[in-house]
This record gives sequence, C-alpha cells and structure tokens, in this order.
Amino acid sequence: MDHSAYRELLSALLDGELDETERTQTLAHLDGCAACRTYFAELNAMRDVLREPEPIEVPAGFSAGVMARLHEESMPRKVKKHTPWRGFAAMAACAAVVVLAASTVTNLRMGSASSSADQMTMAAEASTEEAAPMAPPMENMMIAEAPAQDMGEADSTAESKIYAAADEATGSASERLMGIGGTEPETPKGAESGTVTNGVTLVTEGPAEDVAPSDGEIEMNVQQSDAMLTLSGEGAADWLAENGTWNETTACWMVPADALAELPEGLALEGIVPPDAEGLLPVITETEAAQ
Amino acid sequence: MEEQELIRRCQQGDEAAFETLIHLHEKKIYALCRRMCRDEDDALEAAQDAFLAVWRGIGNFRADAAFSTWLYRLATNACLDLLRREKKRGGDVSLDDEDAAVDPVDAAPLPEEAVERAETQRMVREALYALPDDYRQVLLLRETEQLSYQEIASATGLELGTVKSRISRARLALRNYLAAGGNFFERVASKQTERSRKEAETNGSQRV
Repeated sequence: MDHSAYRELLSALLDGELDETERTQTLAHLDGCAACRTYFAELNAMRDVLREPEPIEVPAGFSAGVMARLHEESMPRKVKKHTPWRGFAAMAACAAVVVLAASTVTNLRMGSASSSADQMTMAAEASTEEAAPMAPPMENMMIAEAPAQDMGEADSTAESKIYAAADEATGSASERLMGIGGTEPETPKGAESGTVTNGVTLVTEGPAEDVAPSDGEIEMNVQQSDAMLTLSGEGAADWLAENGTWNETTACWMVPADALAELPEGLALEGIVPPDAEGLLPVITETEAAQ
Repeated sequence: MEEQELIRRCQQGDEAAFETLIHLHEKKIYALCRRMCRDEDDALEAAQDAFLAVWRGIGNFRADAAFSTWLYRLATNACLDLLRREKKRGGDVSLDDEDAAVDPVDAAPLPEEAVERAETQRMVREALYALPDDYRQVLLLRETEQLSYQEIASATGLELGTVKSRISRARLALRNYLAAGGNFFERVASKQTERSRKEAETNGSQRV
C-alpha cells in the first residue's frame, strides 16, 4: 500500500473510526513512515484550527424572520384544505405557476421526444424556456424562490386555461412541486400512441434550473380534474427521483399510478379528489377515504 | 420544556412551540450555515430555509428519530441548494464578498497570540470556502459539529464508505490548499513549538 492509500486510513484514525485491525496496521505504518507522520500531523493541525470556537452571532430577529416567512407560505395551504378547486388556483397563483389545461398540454406532449406514452397523461408547462434545461432529475426537484415575475411571461395560448397570477404576497415558492395529471387525456392528433394509463405529472413551480432534491416535504399538487395531492415525508425527493420520470421538454415529473399505490412507509399522500376523478386515481381515493 | 414535547406540539401546529424550538437550535444551525456559505445573507437565508423545512416536515417526523440529525440534514441541504442556485445564477464571489467574509479586526490591539490565531483561522476559513460544497459539508459535520461517520451518513444520506472517503478527500484538498497558499503549516508548527517550549519552561519552574 502506498502513502496515498493510507490517507483515508489516517483520516479515519484521526476520527477514531477504524476497527482494531485497521488501527493496529495504520499505527504500525505510521511508526515507519515519515511522510505519513507529517501528513497525520498536518491533519491534526487543521483539526485544531477547525475546532477553535468562532464568534458567530445569530442575527437579531432570526426566529421572527422564520415565522414571518412561515406565515407567508402557509396562507395558500389553508385555502387548499377547505376549497380544493379554488385552492388549486390560489396555490398556483401564489407560486406563480402557469398550468396549462389538457388541450394545450397534449400539444406540448407531441413535441416531446422523451415522452413516455404509457405513463404520461398530461403535461404541464411552466415557462418553457427556463424550465427545461439539460439537467438531471435530481437537479430539478427542489423549488427555490420562484419570483412571480419569473413566470409571468409564460405563453398563454388561446386554448389554455391559466391558473396563474402574480401574487407578490407569496413570492417565496418553497419546496413544492406542482403538477397535473391523471386525467383521461385527449389523444392528440398525430401522436404515436393514444394509450395512456393513470399517472401523475408534476411540474416544477419555478425554473427547473432552480430546483434540487430536498427531504423535507414535497408537495405534488396533482390536478386531476382539479384534484390536489401532497406527497410528504422524509425521502420524498428520493422516492420521486426513483419512481418518477423527468421530462426535460415539458419540465414535468411523471409518476405512474402503480408507484403511488405502493408508497413506502414514511411517505404520505393526501389530498382531496373530486368524485369524478376517483376512478382514475384509486390510490389517492383510498388515502382520502382513510382520512 | 423538553425537545420531544416541543416537537409534539409543533406537530399539532403550535407556532409558539416552534419558535421555542428555533431558539433552541438557531445558534448551532446558523453557525453551520455561516461556515457553509461565504456570504452572510446566504447563510441567513439557508438557516431560515432549514427551519421552514422543519415546520413543513415535522408532521412526518418520527419520535424515535434523532431530531438534531434531521436538522443537520435540512440545514446542509438548504445550504447546498442555495449555493447551487447561486452558482447557476453565475453569482461568482466578487472581491467585495471576499473582503466581507473576513471579520473586521477589532480596534483594540490584540495580543500576538490572538492575532496569530485569527490569522490561521482566516486561512482555514478561506480554504474551506475553496472546497467543493459537498466536501465542506461533510468536513464541517465532522469537525465543527463533531458527528460520527454514522451520524454524518444519516444526516447526508450518503453511504458510510462514501462519508469516510469524502472526509479524507476533503482533508487532503484542504491540506493541499493550505500548503500551496502560504505558510499555514509553518505558522501552526511554530505555534506548537512555542507552546511546547512554554510548557517545558512551566514544568521546569515547577520542579525548582
């Protein structure tokens, strides 16, 4: 083993993370190797400095700032719980997301080379130009600030319903994924396949380049005839990355209904599904019924 | 009130309990974010993001899990997310930012030893900021937060082996940066020599 191979062992030795055999072996090497002794001394020296206390003061009013942001963000949630139909519009508005209705969305889908027809039901779009960078899914999951003006210029074609508005009061979009899906889509003319099974399509609230994984809570607002769902729990982001498919063209997450049926423990899906959508997303209906 | 009780109340939507919970942890979390983010405003935002994520996720927090580990996870994720966004915005640090990161020197003259310590701290801090963000993350969790490898694995979602190798690489990178950028190790070595000499003298005088 050369010196470089010992670096990791020396690092772990410093941390007391070696088992007895490794420890004995590493200490024996250290005895006979001046270069490694020097390196180990340097690691120790850096540790000493790293562990010296630094006078870092929490800015005044820190917790008040958190609470203020919390109140901003919680406003649309309350609306959602009571009035799902309007709630969706309210939340979309607060996040400044433009969700296009099915007719438009299916058009978008036609242009998507990577569409998986058996999963996809609908797609949603949030500012085409910004929301579809060549980034891997994990880079695209967390919502950052999504200032209203970012989304304000989204294309509003004649046939699209737009559930969006700029609402300055809720400029901070939080970690939410907004999505639509699960409806019985119109088969677009010229599309390769008209067979579409249930699924959930998620669209990020902000420009996709601003999103990243997070384990706090992720809300997937699924518009299923205005159904709204929330996926929450630690590991929600990972689960989504594993089970969902990211469509770069549409900047959407698509999650098969089958996967939703087998949500791992710790993840919760909740929401309110209008009666006319129950048959399409039985999983969600069950969850709802359990509440 | 005990932390478990605060968490339970937070799960019921008790905002006052949440604010108390913030007070309990804000110093630790803000300091971690401050070390992760070069920019002070970024650190503040990331720390707030972390606590907001607590509020959003606490409903699913299990009582048997370690709250502090979860909090570290949310905090370092918030920092990484924010730093990633900053980079994508092309927000390279300007010289002004670098200057801002250096704490102003007190007007009152410091003893030589304190000056020396402040200087070595500054060098290490600069070196830390030069590390890749995910290297800095594990190294800070290990050194300043003093988490075990297992705890770091829990807080980062990394495999244990990855934690071990990443910490080692982070240290190597830090060491190379410090070795290339100046006289850090000479300074530290001379300080240690000085300390040893003083200790020897003290011991000597005690013997007399």
